[in-house]
Amino acid sequence: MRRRSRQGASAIEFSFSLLVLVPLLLGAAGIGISMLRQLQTVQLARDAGAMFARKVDFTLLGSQQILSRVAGSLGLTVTTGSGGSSNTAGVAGAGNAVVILSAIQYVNAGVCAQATPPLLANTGSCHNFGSWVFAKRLVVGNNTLRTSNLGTPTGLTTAIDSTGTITINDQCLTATDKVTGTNPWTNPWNGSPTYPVDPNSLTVIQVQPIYVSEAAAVGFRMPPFSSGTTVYAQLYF
Amino acid sequence: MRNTENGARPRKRGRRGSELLEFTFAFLPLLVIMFVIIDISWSIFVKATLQYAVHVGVRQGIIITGPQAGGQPFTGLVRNIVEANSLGILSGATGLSYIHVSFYTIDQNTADATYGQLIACIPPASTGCNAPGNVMQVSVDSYPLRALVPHLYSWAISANVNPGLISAAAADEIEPSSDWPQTLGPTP
Repeated sequence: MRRRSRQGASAIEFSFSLLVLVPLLLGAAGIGISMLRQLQTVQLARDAGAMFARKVDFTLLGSQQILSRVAGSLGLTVTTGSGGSSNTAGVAGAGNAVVILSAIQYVNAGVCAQATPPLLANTGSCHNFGSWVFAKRLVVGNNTLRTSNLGTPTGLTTAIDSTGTITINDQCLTATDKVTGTNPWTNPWNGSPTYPVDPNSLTVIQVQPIYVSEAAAVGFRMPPFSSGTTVYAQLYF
Repeated sequence: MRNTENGARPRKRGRRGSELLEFTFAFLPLLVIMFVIIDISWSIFVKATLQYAVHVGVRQGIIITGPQAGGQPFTGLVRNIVEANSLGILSGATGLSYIHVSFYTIDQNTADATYGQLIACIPPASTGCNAPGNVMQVSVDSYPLRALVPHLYSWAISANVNPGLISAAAADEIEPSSDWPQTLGPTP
């Protein structure tokens, strides 16, 4: 019987093992870089939200440039539209990331009383009475990348101004200014706010606005290990 | 064993060492794969660590009061916080040199009279850069991360030994305080 040569057997066996090792390598790289982008996205949302809640004006180009710096390799490109932000629907931002900043407000009797003319504290007069509405909305970066999980204020009688502010009248009367989607800031058992709220109170400050910061960025793409799904983070302040 | 025509015995080919040789051929690419995995993991780890360090530096820096600073330069304190949270990556004078602390303030004298313009606050021209309400940015800029082995992309060109540059930044507004640190220290 002719003896078969074993020369090169190890190379062939190694090539089989490469079939496992190379995907393992690419998978580790893909998952690692994706996790890093997620980490950066959370940090971007956290920094933006913390400053937004303390009234840093993100309509200023300088403020947006700080966000761009924090975003780093995520690629947040600041825009120079109205007030330096792309908060209006017609302005398409650029870049690979977006930051959506929202201030949401619980409409109680105090808010209804601030409308012009003052409205009675009931849904017949003050349509959004007892609901959460958008009081402010700013978008920095590529606003076509992702929309907010809270919804988008539309159909306002007075357009969002350059500071991103929505008028009290729109907060009270425009149904499409209501926050939609899941409201994690409400009590999961009965849907009421997590802290005691008396909707009939005339004290506006009784219900502080909640500042929501959302950040999204194009994910790392390396099929089939990393599909490039947009990474997203949402934080409350 | 049968003799050949000239009567000589056929020479037996030695197989000793062939496994070692083949293992070497297989081990080299395996080593490359291992180095690539370790390099990628290490760079991701460093980036995440620096990101965390600047984040902690900002968060602690915005609440430092004058008594807490005890007369020490404010930016030096922040840089030390970043260094302490960098797991040794930014240790020493060289490591500290990559940490930068910048301040931004609203300039009410710009053309946009309503909102002003956020500008870099550069001492000593502007005093009180670290005053409450200003924005503090802490960054690690272009930290050089050398690969475990030089990157060889082609036989035609020499191996790339240039380090990868890693940056991280965080920013926040300085908390209200009636007694903020008066000694600023070098910026950025």
